[in-house]
Amino acid sequence: MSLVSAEFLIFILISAGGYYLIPKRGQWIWLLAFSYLYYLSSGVGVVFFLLSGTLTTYVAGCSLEMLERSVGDTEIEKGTKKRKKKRVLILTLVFNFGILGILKYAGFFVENINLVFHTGFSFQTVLLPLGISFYTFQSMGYLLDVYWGKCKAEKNVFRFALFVSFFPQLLQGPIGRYDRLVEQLYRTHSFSMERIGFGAQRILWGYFKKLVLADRAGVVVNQVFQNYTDYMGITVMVAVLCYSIQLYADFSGGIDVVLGTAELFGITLDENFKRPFLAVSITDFWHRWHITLGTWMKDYVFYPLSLSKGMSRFGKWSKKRFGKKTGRVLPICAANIVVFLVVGIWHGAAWKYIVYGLYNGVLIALASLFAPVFRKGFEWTHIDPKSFGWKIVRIIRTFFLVNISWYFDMALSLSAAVTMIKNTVLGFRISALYDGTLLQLGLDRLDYIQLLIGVAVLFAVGILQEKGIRIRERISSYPLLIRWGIWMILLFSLPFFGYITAGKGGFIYAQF
Amino acid sequence: MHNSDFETDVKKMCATGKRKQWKRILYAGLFLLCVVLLNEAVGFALLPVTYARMNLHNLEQGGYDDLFIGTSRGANNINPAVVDEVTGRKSTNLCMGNVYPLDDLYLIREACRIDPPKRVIYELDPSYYTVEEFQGMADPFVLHEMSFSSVKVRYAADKYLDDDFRILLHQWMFYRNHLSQAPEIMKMKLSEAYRNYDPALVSDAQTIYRGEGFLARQRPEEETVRAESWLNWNEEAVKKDREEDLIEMIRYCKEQDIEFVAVILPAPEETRTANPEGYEASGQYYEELLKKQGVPLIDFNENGAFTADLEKYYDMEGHMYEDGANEFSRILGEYLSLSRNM
Repeated sequence: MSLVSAEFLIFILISAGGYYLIPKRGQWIWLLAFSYLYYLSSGVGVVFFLLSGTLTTYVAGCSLEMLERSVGDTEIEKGTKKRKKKRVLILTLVFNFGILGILKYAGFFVENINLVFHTGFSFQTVLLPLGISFYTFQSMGYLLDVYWGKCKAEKNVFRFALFVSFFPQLLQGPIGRYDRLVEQLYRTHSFSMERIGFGAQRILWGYFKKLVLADRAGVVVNQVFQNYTDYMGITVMVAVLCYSIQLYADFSGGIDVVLGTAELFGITLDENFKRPFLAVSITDFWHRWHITLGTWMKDYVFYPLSLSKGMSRFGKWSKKRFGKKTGRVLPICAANIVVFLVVGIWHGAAWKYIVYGLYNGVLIALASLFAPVFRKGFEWTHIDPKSFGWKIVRIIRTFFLVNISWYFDMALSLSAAVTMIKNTVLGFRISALYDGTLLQLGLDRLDYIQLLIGVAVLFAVGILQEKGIRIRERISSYPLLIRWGIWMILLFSLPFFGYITAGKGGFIYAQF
Repeated sequence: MHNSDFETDVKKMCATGKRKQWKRILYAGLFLLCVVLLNEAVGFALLPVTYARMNLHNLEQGGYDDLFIGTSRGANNINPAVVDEVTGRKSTNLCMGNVYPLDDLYLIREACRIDPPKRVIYELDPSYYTVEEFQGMADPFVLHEMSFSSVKVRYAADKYLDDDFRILLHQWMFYRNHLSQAPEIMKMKLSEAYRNYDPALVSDAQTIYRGEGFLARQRPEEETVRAESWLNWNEEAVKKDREEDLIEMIRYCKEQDIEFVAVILPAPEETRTANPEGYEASGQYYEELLKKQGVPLIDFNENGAFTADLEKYYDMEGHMYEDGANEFSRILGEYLSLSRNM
C-alpha cells in the first residue's frame, strides 16, 4: 500500500477514527490489528517473515531475562549464565540477520562466487518482504538492549508484535527504539484536535516534498543515470544535483508522512532528518541524514566494536607504531570504516553500495586523522574556524563531497558510477546550461521553474528550522485566514504543481 | 459501539473548559468544506465537456436491447442507428478511447443497475490487453460522469484505490495547463445546451457526435497523411488482470442472463499486410480464450465480410470515416442478427 495512494488515506482515516472511538485500553490492540492488515495488503506470504522475526526475538528476549534472573552466585555459574545468554543472542542474531542476508544478499554472493571461481551456481531471487531491513534492525536493537540490560524484556507477545510492526514506520522507518516507543505505543491516548491537525499538516508537507519535488527531479535522474553513456559534463552534474533533491525530498517526505501518521495516534517517532544539506562535515551530515540508522550503527556496531578486545589490541599496537595521538585515533577510524561498510551493505547487494559506504567511512576517518593538520592550517592562515564565512565554505564543501557519493548510490553499477564521474570531468561544456540540452531530459522550462521554487521553499523552511523556529506552531499562531491560506496553497499545490508519474509511484527507501 | 471513553473525553473537555477543542473541530470541518468547495469549483472550470457525459446520459434513459462497449475504434466505426435498422432492435454505443476491460465491466454493471440490456457486444481490441494503461487526460471520464450509486463507489475502489490519491480526488489535475480554456468551459457548462445534452457541445468540424455514442469522423477537404500504426502483438505481454476483467464481464453477463458477443473490428488491408502474423495470432488467441468461456467471436480481420480499403479509414490503426463506418455497421448488423445461431 503506497503512502501516496488513495487506499492509504482511507486506511489512516479508518484506523485513526476507530482508535479514538474504541475503549482506550484496546487502542494498542487496534493498532496491532491495523498494522498487520497493512502488512497483509502486500501479500499473505511475507507475513511469515515478520512473524518469524517477531516470535524468535520475543522468545530470545524472554529467555535472556530468565537467564539473567536465574540463581547462580559462584563465578562458574555466572560464567555459564553469560555463555548461555551469549548463545541465545548469537543464535537469534544469526537467524534474523540470516533471513535478511539470504533474501537480500545471496544472489549477489552467488554472482560473485561464479565470477571469481568460474562456477555456475544459480540462486532464485525472491521479492524482498516489505520493510524487512527496517523491522529486523529495530527488533535486533531491542534484543541487544535486553542483552546489555538496558531495558526489560517485553512479556506480552502481542505488545512486542506491535513494537515490531507499527504500520506507519514499517515501510521505510524510522528505525524505532524500544525504550522510547514502548511507553507511547501502549499508553492510552485522548483525542486531541490540535495533534490531529499537526499530524495532517506534517503529512501534507511530506506529500509536497514527494509529489512536487522528488517525482519531478526523478525524471532527470532516471533519464541520465539510465542512459549514462549519452551524457557528459554539466548534464551529469545537473542529474546528480537533481538526485540530491529527489533523494532528500523522497526519503524525508516519506518520513514526514510516516511521522505525521504516527502523530494522528498520539505517537511521536524519532526524527530521521535535520537539514542534512546544512551539514558542515561528513560526520555532521550523518548526524542529520537517516539519523535513526546512524544512531543504530553507533550504538550497536560502533561502540561494541570500539570497545572490543581486538580493537583494544589494535589501539595498543598503533600507539606503539604511530605515537600516542595517532594511535588513539586509528581504532576509531577503523571502527568508522567498518560501520560505514555495514551502512553501504545495508543499502543493497551491489559493489556500488559497498564503495558508497566505504567512501563515507574513509572520508570520516581521514577527517579524524588530519584534524591536527587542519588546526595548524587555521593558525597559519589566520582563518577563524568558527566564522560564518568558513561555515558556508564547509557547508558547500560537504555538499560537494556528498554529491560525489550519490554517483555510487544511484548509478546502475560501480563501473557506471566511475564512467559518470569521468564523463562529468571530461565533457564539461558550460553552454549545456542554456543551449536547450537540459530541456531534453524529460522536463520543460516550467518544470525547472517549479523545481527551483520548490527547492527555495524547502531551503527557507530548513533555515527557519535551523534557527529553532517550529514552523507548524508558528503558523498556528497566525490569524485564521492566513493560516488557512497557507495550508490551502500547500494542499492545492499537489494537484496544480505536483508531477504526474506514469506508474503507481513509490518511495525510494521502501525498497530497502 | 463502545464509545464511553470518547464520551468521557468529551465531558472532560467541556468540564475543564476546553472549548478550544470544539472550536478546533468546527474550524477543521469548515476548512475541509472550503477545500471540497474549492476543489469542485476548479473541477467545474477545468474539466471539459466530453462525449462520456452524453454516452452515460443515453444509458440513463434505459430501454436498450443491445449495448456496444469497447474502445475508440468502436466509437468511430459503429453507428447504432444503422445497426438497429438491420437488427430491428434498439442499441447504444458506449465505446470510448482509453477505456479498458475493467471500465467496461463497470459500464455493464451501471447499465444493469439502470435497465439491463438483452445483449452486450464487446469490441475487442487486442492491443488494449498488452499496453500500459494511459494515465492523464483521462479522456472519457467515465467515473466522473457516472451518477452516484454503489456501482460508482465500487468502480472507484476497484480502479483508483491503489493509484495516486490525486487521480481520485483532483481529476482536473490533468487539465491544469489549460487554464486559458476555463472561461469557455464554464460558459459552456452554464448554458441551456449543456443542460439539454446538446451533441453540438462535443462535436467539431472533424468529428460529429451523431447521438447514441457514434462519433462520425468527417472527410477533410484535402486528404491527409495517415499516421502509421499497427498491432504489435506479443502474447507474453498480455496483462492477466485485464483478461480476468474480460472473463468477469462474461461471467457477470451470464449471471444477469445477458447475451455476450465479442467483435474484432477490421483493420485497413494495408495495416494487416504490414503485420499479418500479429492480427492472425491475436485473433486466434482471443478466439480460443472466448471459446473456453462459451462466447462467440466475430473477427472481421479474418472473415473478409468487409472490404477494408484504406480510403474508408482516416488512420492506419483502423478508425473509419462516417461513410465507411455506416457501411461496416450494416454488415455488423447482419452478423449480429445471425449471432444467436452461431
